[in-house]
Amino acid sequence: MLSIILNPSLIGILALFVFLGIYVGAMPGLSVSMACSLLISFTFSWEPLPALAAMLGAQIGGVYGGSRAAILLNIPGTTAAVATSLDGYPLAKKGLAGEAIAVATLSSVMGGLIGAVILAIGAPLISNIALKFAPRDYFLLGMMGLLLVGSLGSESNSRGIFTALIGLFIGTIGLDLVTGQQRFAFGNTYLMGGVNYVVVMLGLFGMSEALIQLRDLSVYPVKQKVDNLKPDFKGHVKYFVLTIKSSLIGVFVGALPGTGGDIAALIAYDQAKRTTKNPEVPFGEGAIEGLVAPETANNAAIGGAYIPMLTLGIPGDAVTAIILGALLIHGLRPGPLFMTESPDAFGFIVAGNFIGNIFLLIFGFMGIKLFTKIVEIPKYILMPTIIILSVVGSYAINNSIADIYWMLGFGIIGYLLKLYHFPTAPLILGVILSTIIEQSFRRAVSMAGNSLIGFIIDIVTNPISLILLVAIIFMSFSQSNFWKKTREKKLLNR
Amino acid sequence: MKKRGLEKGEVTFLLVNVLLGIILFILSIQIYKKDTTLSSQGAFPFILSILMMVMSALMIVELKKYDKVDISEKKALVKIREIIAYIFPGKIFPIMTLIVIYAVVLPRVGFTISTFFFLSLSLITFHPRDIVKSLLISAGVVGVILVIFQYIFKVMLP
Repeated sequence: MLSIILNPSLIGILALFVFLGIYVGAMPGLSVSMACSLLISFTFSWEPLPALAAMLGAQIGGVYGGSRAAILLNIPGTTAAVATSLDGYPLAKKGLAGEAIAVATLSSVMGGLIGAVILAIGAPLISNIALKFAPRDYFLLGMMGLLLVGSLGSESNSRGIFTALIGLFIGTIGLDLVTGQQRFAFGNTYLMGGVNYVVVMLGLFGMSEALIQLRDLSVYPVKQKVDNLKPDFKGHVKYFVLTIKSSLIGVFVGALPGTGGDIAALIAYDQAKRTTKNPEVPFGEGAIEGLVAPETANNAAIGGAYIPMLTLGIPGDAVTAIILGALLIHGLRPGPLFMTESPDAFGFIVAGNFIGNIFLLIFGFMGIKLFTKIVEIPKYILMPTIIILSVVGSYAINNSIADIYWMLGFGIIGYLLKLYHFPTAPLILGVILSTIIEQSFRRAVSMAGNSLIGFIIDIVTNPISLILLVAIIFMSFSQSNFWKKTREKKLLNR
Repeated sequence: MKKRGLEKGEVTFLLVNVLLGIILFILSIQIYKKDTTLSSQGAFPFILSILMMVMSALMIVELKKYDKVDISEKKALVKIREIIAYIFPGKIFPIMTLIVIYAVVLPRVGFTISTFFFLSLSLITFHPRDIVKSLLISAGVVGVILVIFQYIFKVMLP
């Protein structure tokens, strides 16, 4: 297995895509999800491991890359870098952009490495537990993921959950897997095969995002001077405890189905702000701790997000949902048996997380001049190119023109959803999880004698199911307006 | 957090979602009534459609948390114009039209020519004065796409 993992061409692909990923993440308007959905289609004809190396590299580089735009432009290149801009940009304004980028790079690498260690240790443990999971547990886990992504990532729970439901519905289109009967296909042969989720992804993350970006053609010239871009390992030692704490937050939040690096970074930032006594510079004005915490957490979340995806087949965030789609396309089946059925792929993902972060350490300290040039490529050139890539990508899956039309359709739907403040990530997660959620639900209710009461009794009398149910109830309650208002009142009374 | 105001056409969009929920409910019930057991092929979509209707109703209720709903006495035609202007600001409408034409023309004239024209016309739409520059950039981008995807990624182009 080691010879496969240490294959020079695989490492070369990983390195190349870590490098490219940094620039994708750094450019406002381009996202890691957009890059990975395009990569799924372009690497479709590749062997599984090189395809995986490309996507993993783009993810590691992209999540880090977001910090550059956050620090230099005060525009987070990715959602995971929102918290980074809070202290990163004030540092850059003080002429310390080089130091800020160096700290962000070291923190990201540390977070990524710790995330990889926990993935290596945690995945086998979770797999063993997951072997005891019944269909109802998979149903509950899937629902938990959708509820979380629906409520945490949007301004309104109902809008997030609504888009997740649309996604689940799209996933039911086609021939029923059990009875073979048509559902919502209206006799159309294309629809009988179901809507390809890669086409949905390309429409929602590629085309619709390009259209949204074309509404505002601002260019962001880098005005900050960047020098002193050297790693300060000794200086970073004093943030060791914060690094470990933020990494653990990152891995834990990342591992929750449906959450991701953006939420992990914000929680880690909030924790750092609350627990750091006497920072040299106040938070929000250029505190180094305010940079270390989110950057460590968002990269640690990558390793965390892979744990539920590889062991349960439930993705941790939108990007791992896309990578789950890629694994399925290449005939790999993530789940409790993934490690025994596909040891090479599992080993490569874990090793790739380590090696990718080593490359991040190298590439993070170079190419800053290239970055300032690339970030200034006008959107009016870049975005039509993204639309063309989405067209090429959607055709590449089945060599079907119909897929291009569907991609365009989803692009327009995604554009309208974004315009009216509906999140699109739950829709993708819904499409991908639809089969597992529906099949688990149907198996679970069959086992309960097709009775709703029997199904509920099964849930409350089984410890794993009960824990999952309680978690869902707690999460739903904590996101409710009632809970939020009660907390606000308490805070005001203090 | 500061309240945001409702976007132009947001209420209409929410009503379209309500309608979508109702249509899916009607379609689901037709499948479900063939076999009313919980594990049947119609049960899951049926439950989803009910939840969709509940969520769309909640979205309507939640409208009160945003700044005033636009209930001015503007004529319907003016309102429709405002919605269209919000959805298709600046060059978005011409670009969308170009995308549709590109999709229709693509299978007939092939990838290279149609992509070159789509990209050139898109760039010219944004910068009408830089025609030569737009043509050169388009030729360059199409060339790069052909080299990368046909020879490196070995992707079949449309």
